[in-house]
Amino acid sequence: MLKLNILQSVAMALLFLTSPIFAQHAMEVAVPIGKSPGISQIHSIIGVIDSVDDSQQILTIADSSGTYTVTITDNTKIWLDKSKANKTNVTGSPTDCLPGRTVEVNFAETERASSVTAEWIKVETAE
Amino acid sequence: MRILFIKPIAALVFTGLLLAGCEQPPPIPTMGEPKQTGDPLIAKGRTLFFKETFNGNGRTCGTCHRAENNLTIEPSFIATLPKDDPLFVAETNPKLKENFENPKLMREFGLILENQDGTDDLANNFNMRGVPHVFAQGVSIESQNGPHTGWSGDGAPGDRTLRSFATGAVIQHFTKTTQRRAGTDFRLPTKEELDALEAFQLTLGRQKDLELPLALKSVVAMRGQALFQNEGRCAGCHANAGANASFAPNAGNLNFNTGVEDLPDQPADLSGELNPPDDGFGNPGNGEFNTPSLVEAADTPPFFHNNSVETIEGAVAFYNGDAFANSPAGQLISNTPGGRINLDATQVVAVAAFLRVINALENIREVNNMLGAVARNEFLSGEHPQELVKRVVFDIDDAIMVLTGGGLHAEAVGDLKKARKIMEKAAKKPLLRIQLAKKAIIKMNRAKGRIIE
Repeated sequence: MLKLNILQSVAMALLFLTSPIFAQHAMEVAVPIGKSPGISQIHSIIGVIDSVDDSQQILTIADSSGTYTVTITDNTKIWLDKSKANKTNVTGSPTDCLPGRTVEVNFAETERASSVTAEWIKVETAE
Repeated sequence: MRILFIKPIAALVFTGLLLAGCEQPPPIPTMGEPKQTGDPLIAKGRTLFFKETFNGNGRTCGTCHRAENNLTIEPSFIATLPKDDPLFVAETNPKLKENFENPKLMREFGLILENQDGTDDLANNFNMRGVPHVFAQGVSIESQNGPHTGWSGDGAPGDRTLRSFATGAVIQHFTKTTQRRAGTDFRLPTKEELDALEAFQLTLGRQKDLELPLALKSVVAMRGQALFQNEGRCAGCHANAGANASFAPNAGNLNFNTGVEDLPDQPADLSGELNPPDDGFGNPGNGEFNTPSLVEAADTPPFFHNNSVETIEGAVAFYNGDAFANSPAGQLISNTPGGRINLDATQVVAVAAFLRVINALENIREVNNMLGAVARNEFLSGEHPQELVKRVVFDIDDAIMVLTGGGLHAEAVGDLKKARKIMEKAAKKPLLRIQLAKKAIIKMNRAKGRIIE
């Protein structure tokens, strides 16, 4: 049997069990709003941007069930969904989160709440 | 009138009596239609896996994960494919000529192009990776941080599960153009299709881990097993020669930076082709890759995410080298009792012999599973018995190859060759497959009995 002393086992466990919990697969960019497997309609909010704060880090979005505050962090991925215009989806930025645009927000929290942090945001645009 | 009828009738009776005294020809074997058994969702998943192109470039999942080649491809297999095989779309489709694959690296080293860090700069932002087999995923990919799919553990979009993996694969590999527009260049799998694909994939290969130590009959393989469990420190990350760690409770599959990327003279680098460094999990990556299972290793070379090592002996010897010793994982190992891994040549061979033997046993298990279905005249996970017959021959060949390659169990190899010959006959004479399968099972079990107590 593998022999490790207890301290080394704990060290290895801490090292390998504190790896980043989530790393988005790059092909998510090509998945249109509402089509993310296991995420859309389950762990995301699809709605329209109501307002954006001056820092462009806080969005207010509304869907049929209510209004949500969405926080953008340095780790939030933002993609432009151009699929309805038959164009390639590309990487976007917080400046693309404009009022009136349809977005899908994959939130980091376990459950949907009135205030969430965005893992990724897909912004529908034809431009 | 009566006389006219009596003479022919008498002739017939006389002929019948003559024939009754002759030896009867053997009865023509008959066989009903094979029985459909099991979950129809799995059968649907099999069809999708090997036949569905998702309105893309003609590829299917089975284009790279070949049923007849251990669900993977490597240069020797690639060389057998015709020029118009969908694997080679980058050579035949002008819209995929740039930034989709590298035909030279594919044909020479079995490498496939992946854009796991994004699609914003296709010309420079890519990595070349081998095609992993997809056996035993049910016991290989779960971890406390979520499923580890693909080589670096972040292979699936959406919720990152095996179920969602197919969506990412379609987008990456099935697209008609590098624009990757859903609905135009491909269609996304439906929820029902994802369910079926997952159900099918979970039937592939082992459904449980081995329980080491095994009572192996080869003294070399036995010594290799002991080294694997102890001095080699292999079992810490590859518990029971699988994909899960044993040094932390319920750790499951873990990611490690083992320094493979730091190996000098990697074959793809020697080609002169652009081969950007692979930073593993995440973007930017942390250099870590997930742990593969070793039971299936010996007959699925080349090894590591970049196909940089061709032989199982070479893969074992990697852990003796500086690239591993200087890596984060290697540094941790060096701080455990025994220090840096330091196996001598005969010990490397012994560990490799252990891996060869357990792989041969896995092939025997899989073959017996298929032969059982053939003998019962049943479908297996949606596969027709006559198709199973063909696959049996391939898997017996694998067992022969891994044992012969290590100079192991010559007598078992003899039994395997006999089983192979029986099933080659079954491939040509479908009506005899049931009885031939039963005979082959006897040979396979004899081979197994020579390898393990």
